[in-house]
Amino acid sequence: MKRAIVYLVLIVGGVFGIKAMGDATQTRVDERHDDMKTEVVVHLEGKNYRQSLDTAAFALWGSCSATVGGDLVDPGIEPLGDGTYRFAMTPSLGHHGKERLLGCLRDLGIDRVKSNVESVNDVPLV
Amino acid sequence: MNGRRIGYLAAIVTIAASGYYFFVYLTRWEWNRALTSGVILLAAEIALFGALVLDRIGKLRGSLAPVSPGRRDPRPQVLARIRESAPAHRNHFAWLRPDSTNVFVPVLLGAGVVVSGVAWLVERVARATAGKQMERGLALQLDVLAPPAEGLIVREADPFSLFAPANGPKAGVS
Repeated sequence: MKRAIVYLVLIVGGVFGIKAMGDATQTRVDERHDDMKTEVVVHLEGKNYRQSLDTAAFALWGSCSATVGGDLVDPGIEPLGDGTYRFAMTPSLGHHGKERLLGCLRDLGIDRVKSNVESVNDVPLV
Repeated sequence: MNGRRIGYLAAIVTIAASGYYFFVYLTRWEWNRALTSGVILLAAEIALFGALVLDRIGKLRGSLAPVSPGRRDPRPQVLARIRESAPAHRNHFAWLRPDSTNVFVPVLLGAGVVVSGVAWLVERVARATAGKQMERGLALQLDVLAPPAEGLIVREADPFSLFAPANGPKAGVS
């Protein structure tokens, strides 16, 4: 009986664990708002990167733009100085969309470029 | 804590940390980092598994070894038991005992040696004497086949006697 309880607990825990991993790593339907935009500020650092950081910012956006749907809000990728860039997408991103986009931005996907997401905010689209 | 335990502990900590971050990076959608953590996790697992297997093999070898390398003197109890169970000493020359009558084979062997020596001696004497005697006998036997000593043609005192008439003197010749 005791062994059966242990097996039951393990099975239930495994099922919930797999479901949690699925929710965390798979694409789910998100709630997005057309009148909002998600604004992302990224700081880039290059190490022996042979081009400018502006090019690195465009390359990073080009690499990660496929993780979410939506449009890039004007003026696009905006340099704020000192390796910091800001861009916004509309409609606003939901929880899973933000996870995918920010994960891609932080994932060292561009050789010799290290990126750090400094802020993510949902702001009204004006 | 010896070096082996420290190594095991480091491997276990590495496995735990890399496994934790593997799932953390997966949930953060950071695939490159997750792959790196997964590779470290696999390497640590293989290292730990290999170390455990080698350790187990070493223990098995130690248990199978008859004598530990550092041991020089055998245990006296074991040595005494081995000597107790040793077979009785076997006398390989028991047939030479004076009280034994089973001496036929050695006597036969000894007689063979003596007879061989005598035969060798006889053969040497015969080679030195009988050969010459037989040669003399053979030469005497061949003597009858020899041609006459004075030759096969009888020489006459007068070589012209061949021309003399066979029946008395001829007429006109005096």
